[in-house]
Amino acid sequence: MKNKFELFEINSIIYFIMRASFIGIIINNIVDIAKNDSYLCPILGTIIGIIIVILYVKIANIDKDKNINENILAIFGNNVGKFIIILLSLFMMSLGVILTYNIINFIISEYLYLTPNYAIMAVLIVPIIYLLKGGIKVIGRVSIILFFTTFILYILSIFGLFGQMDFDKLLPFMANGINPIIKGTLIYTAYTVLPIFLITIIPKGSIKNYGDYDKKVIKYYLLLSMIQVISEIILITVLGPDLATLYKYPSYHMLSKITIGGFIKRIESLLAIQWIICIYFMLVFINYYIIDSLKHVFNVKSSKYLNYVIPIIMLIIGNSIFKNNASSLTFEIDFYPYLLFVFLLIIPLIIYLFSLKKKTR
Amino acid sequence: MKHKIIIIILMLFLVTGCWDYNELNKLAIVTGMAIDKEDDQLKVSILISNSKKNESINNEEADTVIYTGKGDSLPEALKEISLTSPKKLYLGHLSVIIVSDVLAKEGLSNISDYLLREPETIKSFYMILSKDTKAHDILSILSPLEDFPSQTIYKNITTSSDSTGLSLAVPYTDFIIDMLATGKNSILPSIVANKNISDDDKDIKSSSLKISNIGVFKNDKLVGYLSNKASRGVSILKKSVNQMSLEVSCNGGKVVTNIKSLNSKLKIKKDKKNIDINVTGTAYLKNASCNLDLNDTNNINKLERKIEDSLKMMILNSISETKKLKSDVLGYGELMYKYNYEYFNKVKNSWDDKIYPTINSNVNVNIKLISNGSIDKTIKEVISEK
Repeated sequence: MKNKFELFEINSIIYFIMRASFIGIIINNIVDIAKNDSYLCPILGTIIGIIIVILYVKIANIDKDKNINENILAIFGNNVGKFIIILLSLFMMSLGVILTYNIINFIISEYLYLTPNYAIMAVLIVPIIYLLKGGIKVIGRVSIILFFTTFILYILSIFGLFGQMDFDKLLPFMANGINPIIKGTLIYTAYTVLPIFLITIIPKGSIKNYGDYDKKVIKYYLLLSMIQVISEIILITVLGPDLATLYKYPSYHMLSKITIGGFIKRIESLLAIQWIICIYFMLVFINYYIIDSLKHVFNVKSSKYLNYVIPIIMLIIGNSIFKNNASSLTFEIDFYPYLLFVFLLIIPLIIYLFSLKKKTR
Repeated sequence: MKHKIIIIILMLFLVTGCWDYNELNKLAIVTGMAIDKEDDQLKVSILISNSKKNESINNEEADTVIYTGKGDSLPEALKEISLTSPKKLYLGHLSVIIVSDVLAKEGLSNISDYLLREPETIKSFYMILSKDTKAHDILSILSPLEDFPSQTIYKNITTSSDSTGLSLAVPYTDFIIDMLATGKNSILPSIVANKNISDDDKDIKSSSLKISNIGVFKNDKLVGYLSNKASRGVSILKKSVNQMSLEVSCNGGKVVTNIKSLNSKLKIKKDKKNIDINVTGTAYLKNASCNLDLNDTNNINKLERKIEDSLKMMILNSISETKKLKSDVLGYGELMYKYNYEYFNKVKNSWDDKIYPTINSNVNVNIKLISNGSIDKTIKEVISEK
């Protein structure tokens, strides 16, 4: 595991984790909740998130040569440790399932109306398995390539929309009070900050120049949060809160307004690839997390078959879990954020507190 | 290796993309749509480009074909059309939708939903009202300069919006944004045929289209049209005029100017009863048929004041006409909501009918005449000097 990872690769992974849920699930739902004040949700969420990211950094520091699963086993012992690992990996599976459902739903509702879901699943599953077979080193390298690809697309999107922004659409300020903003902030934090826990699967000690790990992770988290805030502001100032609420995928329709140089138009499909890439990479990383967990639980050394089985199970469940958009929306917004807080904040907090207790002994 | 080959072969069958493939020659590309109300049903006409024309040696064949269908809703009417069209209707290249004002008076929310919901439709097309004419007839009129009637209408709207200010080009999403906005109503341009069209085909051939005044909506219903002057005033306040021609009197003659870079800013006063409107722009002299020394700065100042007064009248006219129609299309209510939402929330139900007509508008226009064109004097001035 030594010196396999660059620090920048970790930061690229954080970028995908934060963007994956944000572009397709959160950006429109927080507009629905907080209307024109929704840009405050990522701002406040970022501030709250600093504490959460510090917690994850602290967990990574428990034993820098061990990943989260190894640390859990070391802290809680075999039985309780394995139980916690199973709980966390099951939860990660549920997160992957939700993302799968959303990406398939996005593709069939905006691009491929007649294509059966299994064909879309097949397209997704092959590169996921390919990366998983390559191992963490390949995942890290691909993350850098995809980071630059999606970041360029993001910059192009901002450049094309800049002239259409109307900052008056951000007014009135807090007309609906503070409650919708708080709700939006919690949902934002749940979906975009809490999944950063996934990076603890990479042992800090396996990262080159890991001395800067703590500072740089927090620094990049803050920089990447700015991207989220800018995205939300652009959505409100271009489409307006009313139209943004009407669309299921407003960021996609916002991209259709892009004109670059007055002649490059209708490039929304090209630019929307950034979301597909983010979700794809997030799915890869979730699968990697689950496979590593299962290897520790069942003391398996090779992940040969798990690399195939886990993504296939995830995609099959993701394709059939929700009856329709309405049931997925109710689950994702009214119920799932609480689970995210329980599994990705309270359990990690318990892990950290127990590690401190063990240290003091 | 065997596994890889099996996966690759499987992928060849799984990921062919056959489900959503569309052959261009199997698509009926819809470029224009007209929606009328007939016998309590929607009568939808679609303009399709005739892809057979290029293959055909018969030059008499038309570039476009119109199909018509009826239904209780827009998708139903389109379904009826698809029964007659041998090709699959494709709405991704729709450039203009003409809606009859009879239908618009009853409300557009029914047709708006489908156009926004259907993923295949492009959302950036222009919507336009057919004034005193059936929308179907408007779609049938061919321009000698364009092969497609939809292109004629599309270009008419954009040119008229850019250069005259008589009307403004309203993309569909902008219409929806205004319709959904708090404290604001939407507007649409209108189009007329310069000749009454009967069922006779000759009438259609000899007719031409003309962009007309702006239609004013209240929620999703058309409540009336503005006059020419008021339409131009609204265009100025909506910042949709690139340049406009303006005529003012001078020493018994007339001066024609081209006004550019028009910008307007609305600001609500703290007393909630007054709105300051500041309009700025630059003017270029186009024609002067009067005896006037254009090298005298006093004369230039006088001309500037006359242009300002004329624009001010235009703007005040538009405000007063929208007040008469009790529809706040200029967004006074939206301003009030943004800067004083507590007050607006109290009066929002009576805003259009009671509050908006009582708001005073203080219009301040500032125009700079910056160019006299290629000549410094007027011909009448030189003749009088002889």
